[in-house]
Amino acid sequence: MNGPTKMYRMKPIVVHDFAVELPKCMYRMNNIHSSRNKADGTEDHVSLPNQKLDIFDQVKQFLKNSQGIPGMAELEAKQNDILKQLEQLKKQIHSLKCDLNIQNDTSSKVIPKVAQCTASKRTKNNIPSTIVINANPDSPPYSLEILQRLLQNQIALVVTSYLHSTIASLPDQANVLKSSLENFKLPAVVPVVNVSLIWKNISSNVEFLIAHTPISGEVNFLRYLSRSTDTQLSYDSDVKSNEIDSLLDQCYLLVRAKTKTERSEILQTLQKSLSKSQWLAGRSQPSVLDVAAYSAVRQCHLAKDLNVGLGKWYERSQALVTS
Amino acid sequence: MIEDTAKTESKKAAKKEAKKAEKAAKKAEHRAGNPSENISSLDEEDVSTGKYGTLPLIRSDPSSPKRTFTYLKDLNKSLINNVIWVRSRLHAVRARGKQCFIVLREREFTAQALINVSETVSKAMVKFSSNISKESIIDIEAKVAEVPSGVGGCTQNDVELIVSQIWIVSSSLPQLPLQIEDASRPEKPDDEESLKIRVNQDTRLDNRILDLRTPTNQAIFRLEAGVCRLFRDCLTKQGFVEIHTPKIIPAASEGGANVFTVSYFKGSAYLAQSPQLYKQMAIAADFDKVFTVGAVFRAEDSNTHRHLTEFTGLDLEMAFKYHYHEVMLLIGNLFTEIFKGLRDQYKTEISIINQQYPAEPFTFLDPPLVLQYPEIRKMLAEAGVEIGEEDDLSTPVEKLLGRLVKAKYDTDFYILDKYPLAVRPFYTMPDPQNAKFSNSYDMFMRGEEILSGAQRVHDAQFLTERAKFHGIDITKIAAYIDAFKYGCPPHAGGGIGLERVVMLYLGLDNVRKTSMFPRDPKRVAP
Repeated sequence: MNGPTKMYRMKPIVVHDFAVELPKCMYRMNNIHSSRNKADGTEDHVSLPNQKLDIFDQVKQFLKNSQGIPGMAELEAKQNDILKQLEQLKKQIHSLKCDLNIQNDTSSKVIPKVAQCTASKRTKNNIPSTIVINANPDSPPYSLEILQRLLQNQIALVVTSYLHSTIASLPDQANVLKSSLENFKLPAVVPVVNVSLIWKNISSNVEFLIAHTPISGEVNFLRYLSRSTDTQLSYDSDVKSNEIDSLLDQCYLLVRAKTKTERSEILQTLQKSLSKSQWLAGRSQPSVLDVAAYSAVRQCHLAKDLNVGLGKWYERSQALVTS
Repeated sequence: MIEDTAKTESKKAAKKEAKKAEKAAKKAEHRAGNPSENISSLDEEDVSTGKYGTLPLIRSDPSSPKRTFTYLKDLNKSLINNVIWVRSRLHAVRARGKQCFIVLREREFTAQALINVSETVSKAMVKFSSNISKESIIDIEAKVAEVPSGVGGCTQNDVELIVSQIWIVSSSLPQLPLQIEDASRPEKPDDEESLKIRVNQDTRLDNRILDLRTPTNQAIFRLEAGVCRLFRDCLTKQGFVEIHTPKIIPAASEGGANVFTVSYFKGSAYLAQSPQLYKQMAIAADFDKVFTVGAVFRAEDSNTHRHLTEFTGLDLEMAFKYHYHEVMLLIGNLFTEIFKGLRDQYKTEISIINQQYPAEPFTFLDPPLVLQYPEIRKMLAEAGVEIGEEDDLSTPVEKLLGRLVKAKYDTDFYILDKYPLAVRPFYTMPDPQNAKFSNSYDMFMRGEEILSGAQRVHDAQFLTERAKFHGIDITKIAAYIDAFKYGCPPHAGGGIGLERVVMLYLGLDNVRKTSMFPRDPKRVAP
């Protein structure tokens, strides 16, 4: 549709933009076309081909000229009618809007339930899909082994183990744990959490990374896990949650303890907490505390130093792994 | 300012050296004129005649003495009171009255020698010793003596040598274009008090033989040899065959833009920019697993810290059964083996280099960390950098990714798998499950790409199709396609630049530091 370029080009028939040589003998007048602003009505019908009026000006001129034209009144009346109709339409739409709003309000009463459902679902998947755990091979995190098995129906902990360059070779105990973790067959249906277990030379026993700052301590990892998942491990609603928390700290201290007396003191507090129940803190179900305590006892090779009650508890914990 | 003072200082030193040289020359003249007398003929009672001087040029004369020499690195307390011969470089000399201290240097080892005026050592001998120019090679007969307080500034600091004979084997010009001390001064940016005199890169490279004498450079190139040896050893152990590919090739192998043209009798030929075609032909010829070590040429006019126009390529190619991960993981484990070997066998070298160029120790994981392209896009998005599904990574993004991975996994080495097909060359095999991806991988060290590899298309027909899709002239790559016409096993491979790997392993800032005689767009000499 690029017509103009395809058409035959013609010379303009009337050339009107050349300079006119005015005779000097006559009286000189101002150019009337150049002073449009001062122009009065008489000039308006002289439309020059070069002059480009913008639409606003054109409308103005038209209105000026059309005063007194007979059809004008009718047109005005028509326009008023249209405006009234528009007003009505607007009202209708507004009322429709109001109706919809009411409907929204009624539906909002249903929503909380839905939200609750998704929320509870979300808490289960609150852990990111990849977790990096740094572990010291001298005190392997046995808790992972129990967790993997305890939670197998809720979360699939897929462990990939790496050896960091700060460690020359993996000691036997760590190797055993590594192969146990990597070879565990998980059911395929549950959400997967990929755990990168890096054996590394670190000061504490376990470090894990969620964001950029590592959080150290195996028990803190367990706390995190129990808080961000909704499994039998969580103890937030437990009446003894304070006791569990303080005992978790004791488990952390057990791993760091250097003397025998320190260790036996901690074991005694564990013993008190166990008293005659099946699991620590007087529970009938294993909790994070049992997982932490089992791991700490095993890391310190204290299984032989346990008394009868704790010894049976230790065996029960171990059974969680093998079962 | 610092440079200025350095200049005036070196000028002064140069003047001094010149004067010394003059004196030495006069002496030599004197000696030549009176062959019956020795140089200290002025001193009638020179008791040391025949115990010092310049040895005649060693031309393997059958009558030359048979002596056993001791290496400086073996100097220790067990040799105390033994009389030994040592041949080494004169690192520094300082005369003080009737004494003259000499620091001997042999590669990174240094020891102190002492010449005292005594019944057997004349003043003239001490004077002669103090006038030997730096970097000369000397023979010394000396008794090993214990130094209870230790010798400062020497590696063999529990003993010193009491000299009884000193001979110049090969003397150095007294004026040195660079001082070895300056060239080996540690770079500690935060240490305000340390001397800021440095030798700049170009001076170093212009006088590379002197520069290479610094302990750091000695260590760098021994470590580089180690990388090459470990590469060979690991692969040979796994049944690889070392092949040698031609460096003069008839046609540009890869892109074609960045090849050197050489005149070849009546026509022209090119310098190989990658041994890839020949590696693949070796696979097609049933060599199963091959590797090659050799020069690679790139006519890229890029003057960066990591580009050379000629470098040493370590390339490997391997046939696999069903999945290219067989090859990728083998290469990954090869790197881990090399890193472990360096960590365990080259401790001293690494610590020497770190003294001059401090860097964080190189960290890695065993087995190596493998990340998928979609995975890293997510990681980058979390850090605020959006990468399109089919976009390549730019160098700054690669660096950022390196930092992210290091923060998360604490590893300086990782493999990035499944690159978008669009950013890979035509011979890369597309991913069977997702047409947007390819069976290709890059490996990174300290956030810089060191290896780029892939499963290659091994079917002539499919290869032609891919080439056409990329708009490549089929006639130009006919020889490449022909290689796959008579059946070829599926294969994958990759190649690394030796200099770059060493640079990144050590955390150095310039690839010229790890190339003995680097070639770049602005330098073809020495």
